[in-house]
Amino acid sequence: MIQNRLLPTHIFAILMMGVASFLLILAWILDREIAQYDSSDYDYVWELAFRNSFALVGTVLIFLSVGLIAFQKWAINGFLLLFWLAGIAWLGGAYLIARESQFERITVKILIGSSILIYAALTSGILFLSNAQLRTLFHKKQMPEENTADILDQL
Amino acid sequence: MIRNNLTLIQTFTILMLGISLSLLFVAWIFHGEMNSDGVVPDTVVLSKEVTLYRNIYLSLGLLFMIPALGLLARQKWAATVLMVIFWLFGIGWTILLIILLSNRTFVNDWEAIAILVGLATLVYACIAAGILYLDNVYVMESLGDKKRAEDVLLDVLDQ
Repeated sequence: MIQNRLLPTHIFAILMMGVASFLLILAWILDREIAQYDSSDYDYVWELAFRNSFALVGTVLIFLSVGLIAFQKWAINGFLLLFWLAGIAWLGGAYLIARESQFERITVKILIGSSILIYAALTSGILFLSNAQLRTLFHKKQMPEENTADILDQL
Repeated sequence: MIRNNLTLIQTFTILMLGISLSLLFVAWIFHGEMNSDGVVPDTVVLSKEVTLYRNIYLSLGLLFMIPALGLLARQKWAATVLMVIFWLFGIGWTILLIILLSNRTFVNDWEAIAILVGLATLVYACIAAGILYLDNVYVMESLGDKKRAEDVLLDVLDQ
């Protein structure tokens, strides 16, 4: 079977760009909806907050993905920070939603199911980016000039 | 910074197990909603629709769980099974997109189209990443595939 020689971080960047595109499209839909509201109407505060959050996170994800493709070390740290923040934010958000529904049984169940998925994705993301094997591969690709210099010195 | 020594395939397994567990959890929620009170007191009515959803989520959960456990046990067939699942999902999703886009009432709704485009981007990115990851030389090395190491050795001997 033909196997690809892409760096795993590049595959990860493809996935993150897909997530970013999805978030940016959601932000655009919310923006179109907000445009239909009357400016004196304050009922769309949540839509405004979600639009801004989705647009911000989507842009940051695209920026970090490009950094990862360009072998920038700060991109890995940026992703790790973003995942930790997302984990904390989801914990707070899930509690707020549960409290809003007065801890209704079905809402709590759905929140637990979503939390399993979200925390599994975040945990695997954090473990993937802090993996020793991946960091070694990333570092080797990041510094090709140094290796060439060593070979030339030997000659 | 703290670094872990897990293999690349093990981190992928954590994600797959998370997906399968959440699917099984949804199946359990449907199982709880399956028995609704009947018209006659002290009787229950089985909802066919809810039973169908429970079975679909249960099957999907197991479909991801079995190859994920296989990957943990370093079985090569597990990677092949997951790749086949990703390809089938890709084909299924494309067929669904074609059916939805051929619907005239759906085409006139810009909001539905935008959501569909967003979802399609997300789904195709996930499928592409999954297939590329399971077909990657560096990742398969951790599953005991020595192809890359042998390639490198031959190059050196040629020199």
